Amino acid sequence: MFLCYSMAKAVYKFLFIFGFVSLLHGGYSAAQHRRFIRITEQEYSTLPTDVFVQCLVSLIVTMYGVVHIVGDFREIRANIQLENKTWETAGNRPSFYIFSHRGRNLSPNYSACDGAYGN
Amino acid sequence: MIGLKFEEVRDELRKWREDNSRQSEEVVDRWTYCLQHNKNKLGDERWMVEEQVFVAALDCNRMDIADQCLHSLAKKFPNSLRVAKLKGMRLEALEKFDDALQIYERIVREDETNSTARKRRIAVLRGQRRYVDAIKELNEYLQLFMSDWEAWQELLDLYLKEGDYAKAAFCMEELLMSNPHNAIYYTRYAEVKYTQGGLENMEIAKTYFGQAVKLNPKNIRALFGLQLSCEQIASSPKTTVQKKKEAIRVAEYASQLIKQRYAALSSPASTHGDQNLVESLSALTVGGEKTSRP
Amino acid sequence: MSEPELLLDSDIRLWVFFPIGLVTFFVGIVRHYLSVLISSQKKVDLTQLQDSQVLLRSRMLRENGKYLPKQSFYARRDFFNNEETGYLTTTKRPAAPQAMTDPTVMAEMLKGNVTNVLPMIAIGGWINWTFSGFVTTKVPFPLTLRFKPMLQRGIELYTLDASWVSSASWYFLNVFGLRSIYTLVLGENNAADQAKMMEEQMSMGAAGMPPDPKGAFKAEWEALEIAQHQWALQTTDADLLRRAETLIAASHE
Repeated sequence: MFLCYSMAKAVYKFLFIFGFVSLLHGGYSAAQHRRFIRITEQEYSTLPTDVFVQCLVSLIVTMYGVVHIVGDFREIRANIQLENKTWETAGNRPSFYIFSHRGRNLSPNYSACDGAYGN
Repeated sequence: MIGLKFEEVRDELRKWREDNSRQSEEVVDRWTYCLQHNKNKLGDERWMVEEQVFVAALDCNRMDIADQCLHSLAKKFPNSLRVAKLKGMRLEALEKFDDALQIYERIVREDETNSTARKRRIAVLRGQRRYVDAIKELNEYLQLFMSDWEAWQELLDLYLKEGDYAKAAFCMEELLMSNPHNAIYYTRYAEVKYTQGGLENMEIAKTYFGQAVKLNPKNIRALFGLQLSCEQIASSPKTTVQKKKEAIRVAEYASQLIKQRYAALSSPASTHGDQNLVESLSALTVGGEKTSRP
Repeated sequence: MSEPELLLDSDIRLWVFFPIGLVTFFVGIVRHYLSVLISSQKKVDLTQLQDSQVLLRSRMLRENGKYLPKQSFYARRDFFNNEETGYLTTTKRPAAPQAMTDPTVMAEMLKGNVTNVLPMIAIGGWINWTFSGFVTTKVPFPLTLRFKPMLQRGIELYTLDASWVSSASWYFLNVFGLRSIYTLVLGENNAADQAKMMEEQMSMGAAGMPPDPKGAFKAEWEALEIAQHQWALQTTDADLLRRAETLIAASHE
């Protein structure tokens, strides 16, 4: 289970890096194309189709990879996060903790005769 | 325990702090086996962690760890009222309640808006098992800090301890207003109403259990509550025939859902035990109907 | 688009462009620590705190009261609004004090000015005086003429392209643009954050204490008076029954 998870993570990371490099490459090709046009003194109209498609596809791939790397999505419905909470947690009140409860009998350095309010 | 990674432990503790969950024993464990040796790696978070560990150590009566944390906190923040409150809590754990009260009095005198020290005074009363006094104090506190949900929750708990269900329901209503999307609050409110008894309260209990089921269909406690409250309504002599029919329907529905939940959760090996449960559940249903028709 | 029509001296980069950025950055840092040094913790009055809590609770009642049973809602509304015993009707609070007569408010304002406005004026003036008349950089996209007064303060050249930035404007861009750098360096929630400071000054009242409890109580009373109870759980019972019927029908098939 864990292995599968980490492998999926690695795949997304690879996708992201691949997409990003490809995006950079596309940008560089576009710049080169324009320089070529300028040197040969042609009128600039549009980018060649292959460069355009490469930029678009690699942008989508990068976005897909990034979305999976940065973290999990949160549920849009408000009560989903609360679904797995129990009253134990929801009803916990740190400001009102009392320490003279029965739990302290489990402590290694507590003797039962110490407290008057135990149990 | 040896394999604990520092980052994981830090995140775990952070999550517990944010969630307000108690987990005292786990916190103390994490401290002794991991964080204790990496204090400086925590940076500014260190003081928050030490405070958390301090309270957890008191909760587990591990005075050695608590003293250690308190010492470093007091050295870092010598004049802090928050640390003074911690000192009071230590005295509470040692059952020196009067000394603790003196510290809290001093804090309140220095800063009269300090709500935590006031809350600790109530906790002292509770620690001494003086519930009636605690309720009185808490009511006075709530006059001042009306939208302190934690205090309303404490009051709810105290009233439940005293068996004053009508007032407990009032407190629960306050909590319900603070977060109307929390299925647990609906369940709890319905439980209080159910315990209060009477047909009218039972109707309310049924509706609120129903709402809890709607919000969170996995809430098995609300499902059981829905089933039981419907049975009660059906068995009451005051209900009309139409309503009785409806209540029986919904009760049947609830028990179906419960059965589904158990069937979904159980592995093949443990079906036998669940079968027993389901049978006893249907026995309960039959029993309820029998009593309704004398 | 061929070559840029201007070629800037690289000394401008070294002696104008970078220094302005550095100066604004360090002034921001110094101002942060200065404001930490002289700001005082706001003392909160117990009654003020109490008032704000009351208002919060009654607002909750108005917004989420529909989740309570009818009786509980009206009991609570009565607690606040009853003509003889209601909390909002009987509690008497003095009218809001005049801000100008309160010396503590004055002192706070003065401190705010000392840390905020004065350095702004001083540094701005100094920059204008030392670095006036430079074209420092160019934004890498075309802009319309409307941006000329914003980006080319101190340079009155009608034919210059609007994407060139003058030294004075570079300073202002820095003042407002360095905000995220401050959050990075000083951590969240810092006083170096100017825009936030502004916001705080605006909404100081709304955030914590009502500045005028009497008025706030009156407004809350009015709002509660017209609040009606629309039970949000009205349909729950019918809904459950419908679900029950569909489930049972499905299981009988």
